[in-house]
Amino acid sequence: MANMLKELEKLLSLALDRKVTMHRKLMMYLLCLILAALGILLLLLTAIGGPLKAEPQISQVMENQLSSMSDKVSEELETYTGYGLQLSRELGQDIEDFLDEKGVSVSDLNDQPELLLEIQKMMYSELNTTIRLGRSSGVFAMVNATVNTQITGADKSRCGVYLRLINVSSNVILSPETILFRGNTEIARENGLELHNRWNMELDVEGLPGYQGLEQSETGYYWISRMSLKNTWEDVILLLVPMYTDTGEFLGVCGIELNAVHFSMEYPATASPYGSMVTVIAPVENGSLRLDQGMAGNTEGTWLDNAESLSIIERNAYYSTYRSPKCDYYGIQMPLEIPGSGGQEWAVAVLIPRESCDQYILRNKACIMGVILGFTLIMIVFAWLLSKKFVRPILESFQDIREGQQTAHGNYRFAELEELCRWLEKKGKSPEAADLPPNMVELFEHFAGNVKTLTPAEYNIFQYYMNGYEVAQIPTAACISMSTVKKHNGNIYRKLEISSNDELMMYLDLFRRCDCIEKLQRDEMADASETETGKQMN
Amino acid sequence: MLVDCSTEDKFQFSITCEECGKVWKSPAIVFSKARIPPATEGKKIVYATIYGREKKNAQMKALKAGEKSFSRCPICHRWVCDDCFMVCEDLDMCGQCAEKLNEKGSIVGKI
Repeated sequence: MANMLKELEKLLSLALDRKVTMHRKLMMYLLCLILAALGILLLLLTAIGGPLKAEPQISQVMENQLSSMSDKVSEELETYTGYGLQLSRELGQDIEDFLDEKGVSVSDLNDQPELLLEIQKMMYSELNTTIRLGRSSGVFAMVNATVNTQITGADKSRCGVYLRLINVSSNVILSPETILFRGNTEIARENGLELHNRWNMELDVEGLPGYQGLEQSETGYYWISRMSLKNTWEDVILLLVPMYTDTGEFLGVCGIELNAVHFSMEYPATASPYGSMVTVIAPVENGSLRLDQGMAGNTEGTWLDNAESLSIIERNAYYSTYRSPKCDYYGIQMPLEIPGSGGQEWAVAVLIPRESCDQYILRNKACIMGVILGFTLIMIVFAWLLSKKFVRPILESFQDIREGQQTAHGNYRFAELEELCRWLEKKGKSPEAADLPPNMVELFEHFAGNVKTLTPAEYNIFQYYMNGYEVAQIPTAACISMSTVKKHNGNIYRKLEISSNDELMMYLDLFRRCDCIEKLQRDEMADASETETGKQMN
Repeated sequence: MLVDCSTEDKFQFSITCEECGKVWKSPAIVFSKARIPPATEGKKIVYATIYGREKKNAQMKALKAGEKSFSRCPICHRWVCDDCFMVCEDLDMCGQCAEKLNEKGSIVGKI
């Protein structure tokens, strides 16, 4: 185990000792700069609202919520509508059969309490089944007749039964779970029902918008906008379905109630990072959501009030901004395919308070910008450190070279620099010591020895050659004839053991290239010769 | 050093060895307008200027050629021919100076 650790330690030290090439370090430096530039670009884009915007995410969350809530609302309302239509068919048939059996028409039922009681009993049976199956907050049915036509307001009063759930805000099923809101007390007594504390004998059609329309024509069913149940604190929306005989005679109306409390319980506010999301259904008028005529889910975490109307003040690519008297909301809406009274269009919408959403967007933006800024700063600092680390060893190595210390430690951090230093070191060495082949060194020494055998007069001519003169230039320079030069040349060639002027030039060139020309120099002779030549020329 | 031996038609110069009296003459260079009489007084002036210029060039050439045939003794500063100039060990000089200074050497002109 100890051996393994030692081996690992060795490997690690070897890896650390490996020279980093300038290329790789430069690449890292450039990469840091590019990343820093990218960071700055992202920072700018984020600042001006670029690709990292929170709006699409918010919109996506709202769309998901809306899709889910829209399906749920549509399904619930369609279910209620289905029950309502079934109730209408069956009750219509029962009442028609009853009327046929008794040989009377609907209008004949006025002021006939016994007959109306029997009809109410029939109604109770169907309504009880419907409220138990549909789990709606209430169901009702009325015939187009009243018990006493003589009393005041008899034209707005209709005989019928209205059953309601005792506690719509609880999932606990109580027994009895229904309560008689409207209807004959005999129904309550026979079926063991309690009477609502705001019980009344008959239904008041004055508060049912569109009832007259149903009465006068064979139009279809519809949902009426939110209304307050008479003498109670509760708000409801009602499905009204007319009942007709086979001959088209209007018998009355039945329907289903959707309670505001029930809706609020069914559609709780959904907590999201952007704020509380509330689901509402409401009629649409001139682009505004008439929340005062619709229903809102649980409004916990918002200032949403059922009594207000939400108008769209701004619409961007992702969502709309709704304004209410109290505050603004971001939201999206979708048409709800339910028939409304008077052709009213309904929509389901999901709303988030603008204030909390804006706070989240700002917080999110600040967070993203902080991260990008941090990243950019780190990259800039890293690039600075890298450039410092990159330049310092080069400067240190140059200093070493200047001081001639490269051979002392020879440890450079860059492979290229080490190679350069080795080359410089090699170049600085004396040729006879290292670079020249051994026979060349001997040849040089031999030639230099031969030069020493030249007489001063011959060396005077030889000096002209060392100074780069051509043969033809020497007579003029030395004030001697060409024949004198040639005579000296013959002696010089013989003593230096060369055969031609070209060979002499080659030797001198080699000495010059190897910086050894001073080896052929005779200081005292050179000075004397130069002085003499100078005099002659003068 | 140079002695002018030129005529109207050619340019030539000579150098005389100051020791033995031997004369060296430069090759004669013919004047470009030789035997062409100037048609006018103006031409005469033109030809005279050309003559001066060509003579100067010929003199330079003669000097260059003469320098290759004569040596100047560093002792007595005379111009002497190869037959009178000696290659010595320490300093080349004319035969007369070598004799006076008792310097040994060989005459350049002797093969």
